[in-house]
Amino acid sequence: MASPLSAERLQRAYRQMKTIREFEERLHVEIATGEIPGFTHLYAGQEAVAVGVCEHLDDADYIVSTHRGHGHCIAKGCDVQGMMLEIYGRADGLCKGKGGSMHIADVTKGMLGANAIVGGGPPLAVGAAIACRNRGRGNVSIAFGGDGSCNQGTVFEAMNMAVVLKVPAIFVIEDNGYSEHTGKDYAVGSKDIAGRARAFGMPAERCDGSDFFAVYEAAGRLIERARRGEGPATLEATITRFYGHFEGDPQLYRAKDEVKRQRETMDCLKNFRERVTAEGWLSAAALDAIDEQVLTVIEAAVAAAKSSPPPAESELETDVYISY
Amino acid sequence: MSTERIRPVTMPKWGIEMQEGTVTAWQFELGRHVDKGDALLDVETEKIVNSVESPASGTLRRMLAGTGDTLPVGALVAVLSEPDVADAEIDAFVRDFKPFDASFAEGSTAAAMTPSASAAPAALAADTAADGAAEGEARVSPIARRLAEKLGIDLSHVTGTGRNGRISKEDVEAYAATLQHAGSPPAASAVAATGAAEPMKRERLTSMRSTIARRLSESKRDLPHYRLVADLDMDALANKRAAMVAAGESVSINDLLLHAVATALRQHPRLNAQFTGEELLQFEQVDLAVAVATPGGLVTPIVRNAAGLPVGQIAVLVRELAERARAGKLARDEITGGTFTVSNLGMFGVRQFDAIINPPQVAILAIGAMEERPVVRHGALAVGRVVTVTLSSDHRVVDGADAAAFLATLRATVAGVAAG
Amino acid sequence: MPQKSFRDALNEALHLEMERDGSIIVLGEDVSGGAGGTSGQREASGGIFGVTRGLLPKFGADRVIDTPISESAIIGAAGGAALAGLRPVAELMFADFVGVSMDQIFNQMAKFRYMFGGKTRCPAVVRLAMGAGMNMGAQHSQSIYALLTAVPGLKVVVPSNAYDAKGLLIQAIRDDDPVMFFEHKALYPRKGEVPDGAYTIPFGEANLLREGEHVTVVAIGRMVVFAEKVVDTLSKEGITCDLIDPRTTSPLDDETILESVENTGRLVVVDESNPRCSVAADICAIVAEKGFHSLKAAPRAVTAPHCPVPFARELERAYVPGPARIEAAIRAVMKG
Repeated sequence: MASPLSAERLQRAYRQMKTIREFEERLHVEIATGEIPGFTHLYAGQEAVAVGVCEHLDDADYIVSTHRGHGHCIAKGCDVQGMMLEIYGRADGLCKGKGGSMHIADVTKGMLGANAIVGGGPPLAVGAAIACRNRGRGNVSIAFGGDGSCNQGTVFEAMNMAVVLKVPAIFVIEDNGYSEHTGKDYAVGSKDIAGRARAFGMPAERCDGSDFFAVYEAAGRLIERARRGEGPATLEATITRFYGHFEGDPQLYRAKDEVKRQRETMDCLKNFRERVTAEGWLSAAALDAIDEQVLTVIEAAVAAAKSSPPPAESELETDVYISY
Repeated sequence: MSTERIRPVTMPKWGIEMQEGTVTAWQFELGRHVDKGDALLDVETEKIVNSVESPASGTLRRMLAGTGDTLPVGALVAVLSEPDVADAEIDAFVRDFKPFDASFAEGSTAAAMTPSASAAPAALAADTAADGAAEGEARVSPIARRLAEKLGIDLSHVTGTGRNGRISKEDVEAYAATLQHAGSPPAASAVAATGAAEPMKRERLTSMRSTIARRLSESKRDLPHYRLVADLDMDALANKRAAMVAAGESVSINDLLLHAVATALRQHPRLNAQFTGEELLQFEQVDLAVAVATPGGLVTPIVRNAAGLPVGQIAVLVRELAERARAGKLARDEITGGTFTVSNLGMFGVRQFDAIINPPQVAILAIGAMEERPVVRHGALAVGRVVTVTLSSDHRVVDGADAAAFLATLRATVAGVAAG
Repeated sequence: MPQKSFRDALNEALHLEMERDGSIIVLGEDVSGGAGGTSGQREASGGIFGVTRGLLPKFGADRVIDTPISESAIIGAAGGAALAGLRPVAELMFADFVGVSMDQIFNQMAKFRYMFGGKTRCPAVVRLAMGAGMNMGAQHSQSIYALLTAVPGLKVVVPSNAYDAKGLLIQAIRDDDPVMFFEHKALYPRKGEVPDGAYTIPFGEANLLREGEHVTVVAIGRMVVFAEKVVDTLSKEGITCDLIDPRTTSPLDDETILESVENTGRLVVVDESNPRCSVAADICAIVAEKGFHSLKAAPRAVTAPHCPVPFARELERAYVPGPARIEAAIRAVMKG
C-alpha cells in the first residue's frame, strides 16, 4: 500500500513523536530530583495526537493547549531547548522563566500557550479562529482539550460560539480516560464526547489516538474543511497517558498493571514503527538513527538547562505591561 | 558526582508540596541486582505512599535510610553501582555527595524592588495631546501646573521627574529654589487665601532637613541623655594659640580644643565608642566629628585619627571639611563612622548649651564661648579666660564617674598645654 | 464646540477608530441586535445602551459580531483574537457579568504578557456598563472596578464625562495592553463639549476639575458629578477644594493626589463601590502612607454601604453616595 506521506514527512512525524516521548521520559527522571520547580504534567503516550494534528499546520495556524502542553508545543515547532529551559525556570527559557511548564508558549509559532485553567483554552481558540476567518487566508485554530475539559462550561460556550460564527476552529479532545483522578466513565455523563460536540451543530469524529495514521487522516479532513470556510469540527481521539495526572501522582485510581499493559498495546511509537517497517515505507535503521539523534538533542537540552542561570531579580516586575 | 558506574538514588519530589519522605519498606537487599524501573523502596509522605523506581540498573551497594527514617527531598537514600566497584570508592561517593536543596525559597530581600512605574516602557501612542494642550508642550501634573502659574515659572525650563517623566510639584519647587539661590526675584510665596489664615512663609522640609529632624528626635527620645558641666581654664591654651599664630600657623581656639579632646579621649575609650544597642564598640583611634552649620542644616564631618595629628593639621582639615560641608560636597564616608562629636557655638557668644548625641556615638561635647571671667586662684580673685563645656552622655553605657573622669582629664589637658 | 452625550461620544470613538484600523472588531451580546430574528431587521438595538449603533451597517458582520449569551466565550474570544493580531473591543452588557467571565479576564488576558515572558501582546478592550441608581437590582448595578484594579496586567478606566469618555476609549483601543473600560449607565445621556475628531487622553493622568486650598476631593466615575455640585456650593462659603478625577484607577495618578494633599492636608474620596477593599480605601491608604505628614485630619472615604444594591427606590437612593454625604464628609475633615 502506498504511504499517505512522503518518506521525508514520515521521518519528520516520527522524529516529532520520538522527541516528545524522550522529552517527557527524561523529565520524569529529572523532576524526581527536585531540581524542577512546580507542577508538571507529562504527555507521554499521547504523541500521535499532537503530531497527527500539527503535521497539517504551519506557523500561521494557531493552537491552544492544556496543562499537559509539552507535546503540543513540540509538535507545533517550538524550540526544544527553549522549552526545557523554561520548564527549569531559566532566564533563557521560552518565556524567560516566568511561565513554566503550565504556561509555555511561543506566539511566533502560533502556539498560544499551555493553559493551567481546564477549559481556559477553547474560548481563546475561537478568538484566534475569528482572526483567521477575517484574514481570509485559510488558516485554522486548534483547541486541544482532554476528556476532563469537556465538562467545563467554557468548552460548551466555545463550541457553540464557533458554530454560530462559523469560524475555522477544530476542537481536538484527547480522551485518555481520566480527568485528574476520576475516570471518564464516571465523569462524562453521556459517555459520548463526540456526540456532545455534534449536538452543538458541528461534525464530530472519533479515532484511535494510538494510531498516527488514523489521527493524521481524520484531522486532515476536518482541517481542510475548515480551511475551505465550512466551519468548525471536533475530533475525539482515544488514547492513554503513561504517567500520572501530575508528576508525583501515585495513580491509585489505576489498576496496577494498566500502564504496563498500555505501554505494550497502546504505544503509538511502537505502532508507528511496526506499521512503517511492515509496509516498507521506512527502514528500522532509519528509525533507529532518528532515535539516537533525538536522545542527543534531549541530552543537550537538559545539560543546557542545568547550567543555565535563573532570571535576575530585576526581571520580577518587568513585562507586566507594555507601558504603564 | 555520579558516573556511569556509580548511581545515586535520592529521595524524590512527588508533587509540588513534598519536602520530605519517610521510608516504609525496602524491596531489595544489599548486594542484590536491581533493574532500571524496579520498585526499589516504598516512601510515605504527608499525602501518599508510593514506590521509588530505580533510576538505573546495578547492584544495591548502600542503603542510607532504614524503615521509619525521614529524609528531605534530594537526600541520598541508596547507592547502586556496577558490581566490581570498590567499597572505598562507594564510601568516597557517599561522603562527597551534595544533596540538592528543593526547599521552597524564602522571600527575597529584594533591595532592587522598583516601583511598577518603571516597568519597561514603550512610548505610548498619543496622537494629539490631551485637554487642548499645545503640541510639544511638556507634560505636567495639574497641581504642578497650577504652582508654576502662581510662581510665574516657565515650564519649558523645568525638568520632569514625576510620573512617567511628567513635571511634578516637587520639580517646580526645586526649580523655583534654584532661581532664588541665583538671586532672581524671590518667588511669590504668599498664598492669596480667601477667608482662611495662612502662615507668612511656608518652607517644605528638604529631604536632608527631614532626615536631620528625624534623627535628632530619635536620639533625644531614645537615649537617656544626662549632662555634666565643667569650666575649662583657657589661659595656657590661649597663650599657645597666640604663639602659634605669631609663628605663622593659622589655628583657632577650637582647633586647640579639638586636639585636647582627642588626646583626653585616648585615655577614656569608653567615651570614644559606638553603641549598637547590644554591644559597646570601643575604638583605639579617635575619629572626631566636628559640628558645622550649613545652609541646609547641621552636618558633622569627621577628622580621622584626631589624636594622632598635630594641631596645625587638625586646623587645616577642619577648615577644608567645613568649606566643603557648606558647599554640600562631603562624601558619605566623611560623615559616617565618627566616635565622638564636638559642637562649638562659642562664636555666637553662647556661654553654655547642651548638645544632642549623634547615635551610635555615646557622648557629645558642647563648647561655649571663651570669656574673661572673675576666677579665684590661690585664694585671690583674678581675671581668667574660661570656657564652659557641657558633656552629654548616654547613661545606658556611660556612667557619671566615667564621664566626670573624662572631663577631669580634659580640664587637666587644657590647663597643662605647653606654650612651646 | 458641539454638545454630545456620553453615549454618543463613545459611539463616535468606535466609528473613528474602526474606520482607521481594520483590525479592530467589536463583539458582544446584541451589539447590533436582530440576528436570527423574524423581522429580518438587523441592528435592532445597536447595543443595549446604543453605544455600538451604526457599526454593523458600516463595517459588516465580520467585524461587528453579535454573540450568543456566553460571557466566557466572548471575553475568551477577545483574548484569543488579540493574541492572534486583532484589536477586539468586547462588551460585557453589565459589569456584574464579570462573574461568568472572570477566568478569561484575570487568569488569561491579564497574564499573557507576563507568563509568556514579554513576548506577546493582548490589545483587547472590554467595555462594561456599571452603576446603580436605575432600579436594576443587585446583579445589574455594581461598580466593581476595584476587583480588576487589583489585578496586575490589567488597566482600568472609569470616565466621568463625555469628553473624557471619547478620548479615553480611543486611548484604550490604541493601547496594547488589556483595558477594562467602565461606563456608568446613568452617565450615558449626560452631555458635554466633545470635539469631532479623534483625540486621546493618556492613562494615569488625573484631571483637576476645581482648585482650592482646604480639602482634596477625589471622585470616581459618576461621583464626579455629585462632587462638582458640592464643591461649587461650598466654595461660596469659603471652603475651597481641589477636585480630582483620576480617570483611570490602574494606573492611578497618585502623584497628583499626593501633591494636592501636600497643599490642603485633607482628603475625601468619593466612590460608589462597597467600602471594603474599594479604590477609595486604596487611595486613603496610599495617602496615609505616603502623605501622612501633610495630613491635618484623617482621610475620609464616602462609599456605598457594605450591602448589595437594593431594589426599592428609597433604599437605592440611600445606597448611592449623594451630595449630602459628600458635603458632610468635607465638613467633617475641616473640623480635623
